[in-house]
Amino acid sequence: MRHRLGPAGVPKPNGLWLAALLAALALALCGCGPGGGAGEGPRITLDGAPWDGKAVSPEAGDMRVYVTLNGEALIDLPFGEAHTLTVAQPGVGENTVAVTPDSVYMLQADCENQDCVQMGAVTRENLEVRVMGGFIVCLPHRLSVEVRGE
Amino acid sequence: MKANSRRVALYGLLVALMLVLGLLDKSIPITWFLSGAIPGIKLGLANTVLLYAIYLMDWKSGVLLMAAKAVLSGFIYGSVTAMLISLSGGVLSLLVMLLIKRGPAVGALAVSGLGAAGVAWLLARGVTLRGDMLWCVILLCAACAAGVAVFLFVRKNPENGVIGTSMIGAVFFNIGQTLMAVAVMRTPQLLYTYLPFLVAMGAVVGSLTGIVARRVFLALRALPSRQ
Repeated sequence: MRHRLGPAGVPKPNGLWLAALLAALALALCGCGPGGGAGEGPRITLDGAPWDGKAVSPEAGDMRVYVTLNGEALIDLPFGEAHTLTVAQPGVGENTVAVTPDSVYMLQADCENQDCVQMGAVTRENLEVRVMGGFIVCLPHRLSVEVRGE
Repeated sequence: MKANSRRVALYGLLVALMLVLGLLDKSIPITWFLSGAIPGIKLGLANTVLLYAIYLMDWKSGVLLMAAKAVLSGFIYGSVTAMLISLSGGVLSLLVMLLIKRGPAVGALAVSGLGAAGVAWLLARGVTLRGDMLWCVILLCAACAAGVAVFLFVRKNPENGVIGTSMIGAVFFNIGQTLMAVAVMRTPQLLYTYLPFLVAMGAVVGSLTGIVARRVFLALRALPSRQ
């Protein structure tokens, strides 16, 4: 009964051992995290209806809004028309991007930190001087929105 | 065995302290004090615990605490991505802090150099000096000045070295995080726009937490008090 933390004779737990264990746990988690799960693709809703996969006004305007998921192009919209885009990733989360004639911003996200919502809008005026340039990024959902010319 | 249970209790206490300080970081929205919303900026108070570990314990304790903090706060607050980003920032920053610990004045000077390089780079790229970008250049200049000030401070009195270590640790935490974010999102453009802000903020915030850590060390009589 002298040793409450473990039986006598057990070697001292090494800090590095525990660190390695935690790291292994983190890696195991990554395996079943976003991207690793069995492939249910994202559901894209454009202006209230499921997106049909067709290009949206491909000829309109000089700038476009490029939406990227996990580093891969998802959809792009003209900058200058009003649209509401929702990207729902099953098991990960949902983002809603608002495109107005003169700005783009993250309207809603169900992530914990809300960084992307607080990043504010990209407009033609602040494109050059904004902290993240033409980018709005939701790291937990690995979604990025970029306003740029062709 | 007695020493062992002491150690377990100490680690538990320090991990808990780091998690609570991480929570405190979240509740101090320092970005509000700046003109634009710079995402992901926090005070990094939990770093004081890490500084305590690497100065007064050993490097293994530092590794353990950093890993435990990243993984546990990943479980508690965020996603796997957040955990990965936190871990990469933690690993890089810990590595740099352990390397610079013997010569913290060099660390402060390096931060100053990074600030100056950032300003030069932004100006060479012809950045528009308006709005957030004007802030960025001002902050980088402040970081440069803070680096020189800390360098002189540490040179004068080596027991203040923890401020230099904290400074460069915070800067490299941010660099590590940005590199991982760029790798995950595949958006290298963030290196041009976001990284200069993070370097500048890291220097400013890191010197603040360094000052806190120095006060803590003095209070613990861990360092020879000046009187």
